[in-house]
Amino acid sequence: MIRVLVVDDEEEVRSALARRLDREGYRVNSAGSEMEGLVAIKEAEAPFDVIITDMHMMDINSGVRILEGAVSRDIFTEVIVLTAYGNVANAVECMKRGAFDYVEKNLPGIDVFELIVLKVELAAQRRRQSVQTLRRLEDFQAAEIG
Amino acid sequence: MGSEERQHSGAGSVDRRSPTGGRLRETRWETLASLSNTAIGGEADEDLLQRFVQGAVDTLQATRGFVALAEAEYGGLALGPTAGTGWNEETRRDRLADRQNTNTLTAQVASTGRAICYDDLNRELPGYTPYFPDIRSALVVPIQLKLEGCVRGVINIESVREGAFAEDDIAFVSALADLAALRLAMTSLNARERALVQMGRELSVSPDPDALMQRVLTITHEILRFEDCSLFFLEPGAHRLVLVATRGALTPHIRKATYALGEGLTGWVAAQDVPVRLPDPREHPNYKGLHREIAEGETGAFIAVPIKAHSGVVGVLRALRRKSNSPWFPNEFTQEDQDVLETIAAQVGTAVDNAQLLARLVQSERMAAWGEMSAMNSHMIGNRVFGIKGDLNELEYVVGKGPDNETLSDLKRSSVRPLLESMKNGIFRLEELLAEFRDFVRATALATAPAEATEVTRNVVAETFPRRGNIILTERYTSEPLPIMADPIKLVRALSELVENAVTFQGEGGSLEVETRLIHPGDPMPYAISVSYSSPEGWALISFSDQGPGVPEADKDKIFRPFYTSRPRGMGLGLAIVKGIIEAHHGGIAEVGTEGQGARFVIILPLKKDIVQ
Repeated sequence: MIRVLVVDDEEEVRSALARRLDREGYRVNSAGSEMEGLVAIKEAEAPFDVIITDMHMMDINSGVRILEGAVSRDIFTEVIVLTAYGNVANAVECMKRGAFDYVEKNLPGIDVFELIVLKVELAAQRRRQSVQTLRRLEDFQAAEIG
Repeated sequence: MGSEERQHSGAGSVDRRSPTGGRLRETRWETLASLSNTAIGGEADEDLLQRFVQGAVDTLQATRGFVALAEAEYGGLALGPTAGTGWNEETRRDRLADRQNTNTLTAQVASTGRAICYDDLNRELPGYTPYFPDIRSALVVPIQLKLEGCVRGVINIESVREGAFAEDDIAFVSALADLAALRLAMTSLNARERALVQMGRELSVSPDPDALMQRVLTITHEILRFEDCSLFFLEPGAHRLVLVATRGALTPHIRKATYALGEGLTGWVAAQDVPVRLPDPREHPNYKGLHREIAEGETGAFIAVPIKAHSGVVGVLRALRRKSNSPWFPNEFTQEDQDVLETIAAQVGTAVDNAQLLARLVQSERMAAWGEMSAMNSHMIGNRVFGIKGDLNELEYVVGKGPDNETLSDLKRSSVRPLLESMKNGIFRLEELLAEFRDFVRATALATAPAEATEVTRNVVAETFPRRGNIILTERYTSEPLPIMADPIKLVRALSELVENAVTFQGEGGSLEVETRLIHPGDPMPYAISVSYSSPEGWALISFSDQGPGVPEADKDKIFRPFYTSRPRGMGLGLAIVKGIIEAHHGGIAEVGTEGQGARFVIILPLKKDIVQ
């Protein structure tokens, strides 16, 4: 089962995302702050497959720090950043540091939940591929050594 | 008459003329010393001149004397203080009343600036009829500062005696006249300085622009002595000057009388950005006489100077004098007058700049306040909306293909569906408003890169202008490159808004004309667009004209204010955002169309030629 962590300091946002992703069959954990999020990432038994984090919690760089925490736990964890509308600059910064994608929370005329579901699916796919590639590489190396 | 003279002489405080002249010379010296001491005292000009003429009459044991003062407004002479015999209400009124008569000794001295002295008028000027028939000798001296060139007045001393005035007398009265001239010049310079300082002070504090401009004219009048004076301002966004203040006949035409830029002499001054100073405005090839403070034939000296602000010429200040009655005594405006008028115009120009700066400051403070509010609220509002969208998404799922849809009757489902759609639309609308608000707040934060104005415009039109529809599109782009520094996303956002506006406001049919143009450095702005920066490399001009309803004159500035809207949709931030974006690019925007004929938005952006693409 694909494990998703939702990090957002707004209860409504967390529960709405958790409910929707749960419907898709993901196993969803949530964290209500940057700190909680970092702790959850660190202490999870197995690393999360996909992390959805708000960009702006404690400050404008909360999302960046969640990204760093996630990548330092597992380089293949995919991170999707949520931003307020029009606040793309920081999201682009996250992309440069390896985030999977960003989603603007309040894009007029778009059902953002369907969009997030789609992105989570794509992120999960990419993670699977990355992990598989790594495994094959490891197998290949192991065979060579053997 | 002889008895009068004796009577007068007896009343005087000085001794009778000594045949040797020694005692007399001493008396003159004492009088001069005492009068020159008075001249630097605090007495009013009028009182001082009274003392002078009285002193001259007494010392010279003359019959009478008077001071005539030049009236710059009319080019005539007015009777000032008098001394000696023969003066009463009637003679005072009539002595200089005949202004047409230039054939008087007083007028002659006023026009030539040279003193004259006659020993026997009957013999020396046969046929000349003096106003007082008893006089034989006359000594007339100009009050004049040689360096000014113009005569401020005349001191006229008469005597019933033949050969009453000697060389020494001429020198004595001339010395008094010089003192008088210095004093009068000092008074008018003081008044000038005070008035200019006062104007500067008022211009920097007065909150009511209309009253202020009227004050400008009043003060100008105090300094410049003219028949009438008018102040014209270039209408923001329009090609014409509008009368904003005047003093006389044109008063009913305030805000109504206009000159197109370049039209008539006043329009020419604004268009050419040069002052004009003429003895008769009709001499000028551009003179049309469209709006006259004084009847056509009576207009004499004319002076008009452009009022310059940071953005270029913003108006014209002009003054007129009635035609001089005396051909020997012209009342043209002098170079000094022009200097003063230009100083006043410069102060008004600075005041205009300050007012614009203040308006911008208020605007930017307002923007900053919105920004703060936005930062606090829109994030929270956005998150609530996000949560509601989640609920709606879930509701849609439950009503539609949800796991327990069997429990929901078809009837209920069909009645819930439209409600759901309506709620979704409401939420989308709310998000649009949030988006508009954030665009507004972020309008001024730019990430610039080199761009080319025509290319950006062309792309915006290609992407935004509806392919289907019956609006006729005309594109006229300059072939010259228009390199600018721009935030591509924001500039596109601004230009798109204008294209969309043109399309929405026209409904069926109509046209959209898009133009780009190069404005060379130093060229006059084709429209009154206020910019807070100068651009040494010239400007890129982008204009969008439609044939929609246009913008009423009174609303031309308002439409750029936040929350001003004539449409039901949106918050009324559209044009405020556009303006914010353009001004953040150090450019300017104005609506310059005519109501009823269509709107025309003109944008200028500073060119940056040295950038490396």
